[in-house]
Formats: sequence, structure tokens, C-alpha cells
Amino acid sequence: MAASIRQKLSSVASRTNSLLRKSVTSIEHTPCVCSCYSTAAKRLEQEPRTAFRTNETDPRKHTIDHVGLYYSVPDEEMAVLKTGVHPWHLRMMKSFNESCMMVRKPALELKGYLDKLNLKHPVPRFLLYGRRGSGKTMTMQHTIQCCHKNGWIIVHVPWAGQWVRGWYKEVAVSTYKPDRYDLPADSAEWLNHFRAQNQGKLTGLKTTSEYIWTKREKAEAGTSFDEIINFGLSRLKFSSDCVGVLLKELREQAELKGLKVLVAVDSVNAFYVQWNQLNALKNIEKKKLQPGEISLVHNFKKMLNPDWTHGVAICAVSEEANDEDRRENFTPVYLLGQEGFEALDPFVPIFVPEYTEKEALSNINYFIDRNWIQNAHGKTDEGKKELMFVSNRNPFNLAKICAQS
Amino acid sequence: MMAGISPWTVKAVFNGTIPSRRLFIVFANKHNLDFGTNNVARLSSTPDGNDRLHTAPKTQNKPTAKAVTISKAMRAYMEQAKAYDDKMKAEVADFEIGKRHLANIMGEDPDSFTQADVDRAIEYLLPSGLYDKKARPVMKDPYEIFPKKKAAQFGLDGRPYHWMYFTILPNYYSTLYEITWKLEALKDSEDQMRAENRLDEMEGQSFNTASSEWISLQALKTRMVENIKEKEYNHFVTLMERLVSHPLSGREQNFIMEWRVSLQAEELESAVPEVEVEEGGRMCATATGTRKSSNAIVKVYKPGSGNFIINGKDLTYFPQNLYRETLLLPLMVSDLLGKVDTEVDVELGGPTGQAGAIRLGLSRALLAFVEDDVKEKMRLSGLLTKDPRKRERKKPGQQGARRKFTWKKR
Repeated sequence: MAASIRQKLSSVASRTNSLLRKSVTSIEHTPCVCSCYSTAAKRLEQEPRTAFRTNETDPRKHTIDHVGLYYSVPDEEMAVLKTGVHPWHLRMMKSFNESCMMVRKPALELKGYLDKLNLKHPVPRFLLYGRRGSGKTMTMQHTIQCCHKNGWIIVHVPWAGQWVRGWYKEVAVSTYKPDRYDLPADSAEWLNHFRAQNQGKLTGLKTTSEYIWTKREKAEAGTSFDEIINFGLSRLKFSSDCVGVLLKELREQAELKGLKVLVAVDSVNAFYVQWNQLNALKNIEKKKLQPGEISLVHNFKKMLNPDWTHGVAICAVSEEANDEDRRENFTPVYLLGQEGFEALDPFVPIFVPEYTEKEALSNINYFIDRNWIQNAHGKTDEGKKELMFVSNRNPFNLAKICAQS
Repeated sequence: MMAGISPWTVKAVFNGTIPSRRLFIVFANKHNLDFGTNNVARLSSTPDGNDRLHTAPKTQNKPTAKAVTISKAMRAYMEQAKAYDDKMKAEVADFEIGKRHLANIMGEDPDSFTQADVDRAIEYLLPSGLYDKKARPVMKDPYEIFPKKKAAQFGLDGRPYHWMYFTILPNYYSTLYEITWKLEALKDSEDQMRAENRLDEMEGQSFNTASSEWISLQALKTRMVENIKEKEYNHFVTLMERLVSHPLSGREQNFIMEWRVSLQAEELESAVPEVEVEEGGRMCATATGTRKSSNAIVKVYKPGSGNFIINGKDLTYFPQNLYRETLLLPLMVSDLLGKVDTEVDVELGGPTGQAGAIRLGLSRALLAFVEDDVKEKMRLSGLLTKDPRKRERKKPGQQGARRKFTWKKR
């Protein structure tokens, strides 16, 4: 152990040797050798009470007063969200040495709806829409965390666009219906994701009917969900079917067992709009596949139908899921197209706006706190104003600009 | 006989040949027309230039008993002048007839056929796609086409009018002479004041050089009607600087300002747009800007909250940050970021041109809301200067404006 630490220190020292030689006098010596060379944000023992932070880490208790403030996500909840968070966010969180999210108004609005929901009605659909990088995905994460705290079962699609594209993706003819196509790898990945997000919530859930995989293999009625997942993961050929089974059972049992199911689908327009780029999915005859022909998509579309109860569907539309010539507008009707709009109508649209001035300032202050902005001018009021102007207060753009400077 | 020569009647003959005498259409090119500075001195049009050049001594007109002897040089000059006059007369007659022909061709009244009509007719009858406007056919008054020459510098007896004629640059050297004497005068008065112990009066009497600069070499050349070289120009500037640095130079302000041009700072005053006050006391200033082929009309409202609307969209009109940064600069320099609202109509061109056009228009509009020192700061940052660069045309026989085709042996 001690040896490895020494090794690490020496590698740090060798990295910074040239620096040492140049400016020996200017370095302040502190007891810890690492910290004075490290640019990484230091994890504080006790979080200070700063203007852009709130100590309220429970998303259920966030109110309008918390808008624009950062709260840290505890590690055990981060483990649940982790598989669904965008790698870019994960990388940022790693750089900042903590997992923080901002409380924003659309998430609170959504929470308000969920709190007052009558679950006995057919599933209501909420649709998040907004410009690129305005925070639709993070709003969804906030809501997922909220529902997770409340013990909901989470059926989450981190990015639906993944299922309609792929360069060398394995596409197999469905074992259930010959005119459908399976994506074994993607299905298995989703099964893992589903299991990770619902750790401990699936015990006691059992299938209600018999499923025959092959002549010799079948799942009797009363098989637990965990076994179905394990089967899907061990027999990749049937992983797509396992997903279908799980979703069907959830729909059927939600009312009987009084479950609460949250269906969250990011870039839902990929389900309804054909992806025509070079990396579109093709079958063995090189024919481009319609989204509806992919069994995963087909099964998830059923989750969005209002023919079951005790559930909520939260969707987000994103421009990236559409072809490049169909990205002029960011409104749901435009992005979903005729088919998608008819399938989801009626839904509750929730606009995710750009940062307000307060939120943008809070974000910039957070970056300064995390040593992400180190330029002296960036810490002044004028610098902050310039950042806000150039980024047009778009969250993703702001982060990109701050990463450049 | 030749005593009362007016300045322009005595002119050198122009040796060029004219292809069509009838219609008097000259396919002028740049080489032909650019006679102004290098080899031929032009007849000065400024009154003071004329004064320096052409006032013949009064004694010239007195009748004398002696037979008038005319120097060889003067005779040659007079012959040249006569030939030039005759030629010009013929040219003018040709031009008048040609104009009437042209009017008839166009089916208009020859008597009321103006130069504007001529230009229009030529453009219609001889359409030209040539890039250089000077290379296109023209039909103009011969006096505008043929180069004018400096009038005679000496009288009939061969004596030069100007006492500095033999310095080759009489106007230039007489100006230097004048400057030197003015400087000496200032020194004298300084000495006097020193003797009378009135030195405290001298304070504040020096000339303020801010907001103006010395005229350029080209301008000096035109002013003097002489072929002045860079060396002479530097000499002139040095001498002038010496005059200006004298503590009493303010007394010669008028003389000094004759040789200086005001900087844009004063022109700024005229560039400041008018402020309209809307209902509710909100101020609005409008200005235009251009860059490349883009045009922008910018409206700035004060007070505002920093909203920026371009063609009905917000800043997302420019997806790239570079263009937003372009717009940021005027607001930063004027320190009005977040204090004004902006509305822009921009058309034509690409994003670079449009962003540049908006920047120029915005800077001009912001002038209405800033103090004088900020205006100067904005001018120095280059915000108020139009970028004159345009797309360069493609040349025949080349791949592009400059790029040549790949060289292949064969």
C-alpha cells in the first residue's frame, strides 16, 4: 500500500519536475505535496454554506426557493442513477469530485404534477422539450431520483436514439415474431441498467403467465423477475424477449400489486421518426429498419400507451434523434412528426428553458468553486456577464465555453 | 500680344492618339488617366495654389521702347500651347457634334441632351462587362479627358515668376521658409516675454496636437503641385514639429491647422445617431452597418436588460460562439453589456459578414449613449472603422482569385 502511494507521488513529482525547476521560489510549501500541484477540486470535509448550494439533498423536499441552487447527490443514489446519466455529465462529476445537480423549475413543475397524480387513471404522459443542451436530460434525472426515493419502479431509456442506429451492431430476426428484429447487445445492456436502477424493488415480483423460449426452455408462471433478467443476460438470443416480458408483466401487475411505475424515455422521437443516416440499422438484406420493426422499440412504445394504470410516462424530445434536415425547430409536434404526435397525444408539454440570470450565475460560481474556471477575468463580474452573453445562457454551451477558457 | 495669358490657355500638347474622332469615345484605361502625380504637374485648382503659380509681375504689362525679345524656351512653350489649344478646340467641336449624333441615335432632343444622358446612352449602346470601371467606354468633355498641364512658370523674357524657381520645388521651399520665419518670430516674442518677466503668461499658449495629424505625403504633393519625395516630406514634418513644440505655437494655430487634418474624433460628432424617446421615456438609437456583402440595421434601446434579437431570433441566430463574441466587443468596450436591448435586421452574406455588419451598426448606435472619452476609446479599438475588404474576383486562367492551376508538365 505504502509502496503504491510512493509510486504515485513520484509520478506526480516527475510530471511536475519541469515546473519545479522553473519556478521553485513561487511555490508555497504545504504539508501535503500532492495538493499544491494538483488542480483537482478538493473534497471538503464539511460543505460550506455558499450562495449557490443548498444542503437539502432530498429531491422530494425541493421547493421554488431552491431554484438555481446545487444539491449534491449521495453516493448510494448516484449508484442508481449512474448507468442512466450521460457520460459527459459523469466525466464532469468526476472532475468536480462530487455529484451535484441544480434544482430547476421544470423539474419542480414535474414533481408538482407527480405529487398530485391519481394513479388509477390511465398513464399520463409528460413531454419535456427545449433547445439543445438546455437540461432536459438532467431534469429527467432529477425526477428519477425523486421517484426512486419514493420507491417507484423505474423503467428508464437513457437514450432511445441508440436503438435505431449502429455501425456493426448485431441485428437478429426476432425469435417471437419473424417480421421483427432483436438487438441482443442493447437489450442485455438495458436489462443490466434496469436491474441496477431497481435494486431491491423487484423482490416479490413474479410472472403471471408461462413463457416458452424454446422447445426445452420455458419460464413457468411464478418465475421471479430476477430470474428472467438473469436468463436474458445469460442467453443473449432471448434478451429482447425478456425485456418484452418484463414490461408486459409490469403493465399487468402495476394495478394488481399497487406498484408505481415511472417510464422515462429520453429522445422519444427516435421511436417514431426514421433515422436515415449512414449508420442506420439494416437487416441482412441491407434494408433499412423502421423503428417499429425493432422489438425493443415496439415493446417500449406499448409502455407509452394509456391502456394501463399506476404508472407515469415522462418523455423528452431531442433534436439529435432526428435527421439533420429535420432539426429546424425544437417543438414536440415538429420533432415527433405526425405518427409520434398521434401516438403520444394528449400529453402535458413541459418547456425546459435556458438558464435564468440567477441560474447562470449560480452555475458559473459553482465552476469557480470547483476550480473549473481559473482565469482571473472569469471570476470578475464583467467576465461572468461575458460568459452569459456568449453562451446565451444555454447550460451545455456555458459548460463548453468554461471548459475552453 | 501674349502679355495677358490666362493660366489655362497656355498648355502643353497632349501627345496621345484618339481612335475615333467622330464620336469622341475614349476607351480610357488606368494608365492613360493616371497622370496626376508622377510625371506631369497638374494645374492646381485651389485658389492659393494658383496665386503661387501664376501671378506674373506687374511690370510685364508696361510698354517698353525696346523690341520684345522672347526667350527660346518661351517660344517653344508658346508653340506647344497653341498646338494644344487648337487640338482642344477641334476636340470640343467633335464632342459637340458627337453629342448631337448620340441624341439623334437615342431619339432625344439634341439641345437638351445633358452629360447624364450621354453617360446613360453610352452604357446602353456599348454595354461593357469589364471589371475596372475606368476601363469602360466613356464620352466626356475633352477638358475632363485630357491631362492639364502646369501653366508657364516664367515670363516672355524668360525670367521665372517665382523667386525660388531654381530650387525646382519653389512652393515647397517657400513654405519651409515661411515656417522658419514664423518660428523665429515666436522665439523673438518668447525672448521678449522672458526679458519682461512675463513667463507665466506663456502657459497654455502651446498648440494642442491631439485630434489632428499632419497631412499625408500625397496630400502635400497635390497641395504644392510639385513632385515631393518622402525625404522632403519628412523634412517638412520635422520643421513643423519644431514649430508646434514651441510654447507659443498656439498663436500660429490657423497656419498650423492649414497643414493638419482633423482625426475622426471630430467626425464622430456627425456619426452619432439621433436619439428618439419613445413612450415611457425609453430611448432608442438606430444605425446601420455593413461588412462584406451584408447589411444590418441595428436598433438599441436604453434602458434594457440585455436582450438581443436578430431577425426575430435571439443569439441562437449565430450557432457559433465566435460570432457572438464579435457582437460582444462593442458592448464590452462601451460598458453597456446587460444595460441595453438590441434589435437587429440583417440580410445577405454569410455569418461572418452578418456578424461584422451587426458589430459596426451596434457600435455606431451605442455612440448615442456613451460619453466622449468612451467614444474615443471605441474609435481606437477599431469598432467604428468599416472593414473595407471584399471578396476578390476570380481571374480567368486561374483557379481562383490568386491560386493558379496545378502546373503540369504536359
